Amino acid sequence: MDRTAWILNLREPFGAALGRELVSRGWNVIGGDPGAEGETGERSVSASSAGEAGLEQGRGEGGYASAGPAPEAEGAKFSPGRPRAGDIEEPGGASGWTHGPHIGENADIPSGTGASGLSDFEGSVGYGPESGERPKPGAQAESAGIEAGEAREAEAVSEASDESGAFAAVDEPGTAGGTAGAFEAVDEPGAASGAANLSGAAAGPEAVGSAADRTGIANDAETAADSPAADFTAAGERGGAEVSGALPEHGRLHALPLAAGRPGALEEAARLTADLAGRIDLLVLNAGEIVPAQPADRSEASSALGGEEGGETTQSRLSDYETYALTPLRAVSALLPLMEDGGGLKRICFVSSREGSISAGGGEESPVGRAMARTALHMQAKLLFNDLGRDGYTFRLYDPGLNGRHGAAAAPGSSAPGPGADTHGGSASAPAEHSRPAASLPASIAESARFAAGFFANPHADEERLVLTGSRGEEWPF
Amino acid sequence: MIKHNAVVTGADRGLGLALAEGLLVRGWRVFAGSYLPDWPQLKQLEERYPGMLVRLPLDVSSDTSVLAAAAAVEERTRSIDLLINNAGVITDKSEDSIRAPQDYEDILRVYQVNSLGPVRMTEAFLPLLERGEQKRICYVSSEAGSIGKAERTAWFAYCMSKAALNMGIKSLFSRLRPDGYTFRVYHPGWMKTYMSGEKNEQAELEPAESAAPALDYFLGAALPWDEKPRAVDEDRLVMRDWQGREWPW
Repeated sequence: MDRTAWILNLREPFGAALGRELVSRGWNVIGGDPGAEGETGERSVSASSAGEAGLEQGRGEGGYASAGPAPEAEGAKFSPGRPRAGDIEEPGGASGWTHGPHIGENADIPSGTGASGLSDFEGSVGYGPESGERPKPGAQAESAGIEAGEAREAEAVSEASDESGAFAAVDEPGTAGGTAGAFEAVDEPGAASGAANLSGAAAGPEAVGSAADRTGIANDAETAADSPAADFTAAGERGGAEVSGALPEHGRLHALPLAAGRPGALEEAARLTADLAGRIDLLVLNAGEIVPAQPADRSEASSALGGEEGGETTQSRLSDYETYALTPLRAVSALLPLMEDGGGLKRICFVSSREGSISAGGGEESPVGRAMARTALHMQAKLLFNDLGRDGYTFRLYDPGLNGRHGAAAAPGSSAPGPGADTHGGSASAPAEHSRPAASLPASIAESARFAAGFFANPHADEERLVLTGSRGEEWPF
Repeated sequence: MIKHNAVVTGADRGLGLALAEGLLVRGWRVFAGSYLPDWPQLKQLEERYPGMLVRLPLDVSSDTSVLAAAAAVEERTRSIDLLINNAGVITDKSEDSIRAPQDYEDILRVYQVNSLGPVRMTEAFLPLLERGEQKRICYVSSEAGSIGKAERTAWFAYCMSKAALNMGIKSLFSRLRPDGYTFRVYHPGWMKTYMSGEKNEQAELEPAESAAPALDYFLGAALPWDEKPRAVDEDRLVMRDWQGREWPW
């Protein structure tokens, strides 16, 4: 039996990553695409089916026709090709599509982007040398130092005509203007711009960066290079390629045009969804900005200091309420009829943030209006939990933990330190803490979405409680 | 000589009127926010306390009205010591479950008054509070804003507005507590008031019965309901009801 998840915003990075995760676990995913207004039904069939073909073959599953059928027609039936999420009703079943030994884990399925069978799981070629451990800051600095040493030699050779410069590079590296590029590479291996002309040496620091972000950047970059699915992937990555046009379709993933703020848009999306899939099992409400536009932006922090003088207005606060609290309510109202079917999973998942926790939040880095709207969302979730729980609905309230330094500070050890984070010496720790999360954002999003997919899809030990749960399973008070 | 000045919102009737009267009895000058110019009760109170009660036209959902009220108060005094955010509304559509169509305009209206109103008032009156002696800011919230204890199955507009209010208070608390401000969050109980338009005669408490413990809590430094008074921990923001019980967020 097919299981269908419906994600409010598929273009928002967390929603995009979650969509990929659920697809990789055998779910059909339908979602809203606020950026594809008016383009419905006019997507390039050939590009889409080529994308599907690559996708399915890459997984070693030949189930989906490799060419030809328009995704609209085929997608409507979600053609079979592999065991389905229906298996979740037999927890002991061999496939275990959504059941792993732990929530969020499934040993049978390569987790990751879900977009490629070759490069999206640990131990695959896409990861390169596999130690099973994340690089430690010290080791990283050391290897960066080695690479930089090579870079220095290369630099010295390349500038051999300028003898004084070359000798200076060897003897007094710190003062040599000619080697400034190489030393930039020491400080910021990921950037490596200064050493770009030293092709061999510059590759080293970049490799360090890739290893640190092993789930995110490298794989998605590969995917982006050769698959139409890359558009979708890129939409999920901040700093990725410019998002253009519609999200591509493939067999298990279907994007609907949806500007959720427009009157009637959700009702229209509900009608389209009813045509595509008879039922919604899992409703994911990822309204608003789940991933900060600029991670740990200090100017945002200082503007929130002042409330009335700091950029927030009544209009922005009302708009926050509309976005974070009312849009999910409208979505539940519009889509609930599609969830009522007796055989459905009947699960509603709210994506929120700890900044809406009255006990834990209220810090100066959160705009007041947004924090208030998120708290209202928690109340809304509780009221629906009280009401619909009587009819067999279950609920999830999730904090992806992606709110810049707030999330990073509260989540030590969640991810590897960013490349170069520790190479500035004593002064590095304070700025690093304030200026960006510990891991690269794409890696954090992928990691959080992977946990969320399990958290949302799997049964929970205690469905009688509604708890704001973070991406490491930690519980946040209201 | 006037010792203390207070601003009370929603003072036309109900709990706000009772709070204003309680303050007048204690010798405070009260700037009483009035949303209903034709409602007689506040005028009658003004006649009993000439010069001590100042009626203040005030719609807490409007930026301009709130700023005008702050300017009007500033003409009469350079500081206030106490701000009581009492004004609140409810909707007659509370019982509509999610399976019924929701009135989103109404939900926004309730949010404008109940949630943004007190935040707006606090921000507008900060300069006056800053020069005051007590820097005490009080909020009439509700158990309906407690997510942890919520047992309702609808009431989206009201419950969401009060939960959001509590968060707004927490944000203000985080920002202003270091500057010496102190905060009170109060659940007044189920009162016989006009909040839904008509007086609710089924409710448990007369407004004055809730206003008395409210003023003890708002003005005091100790909890009067305990068997022996205990000092309020000003560095911890909590919501307490008329019996002194703490409600979870």
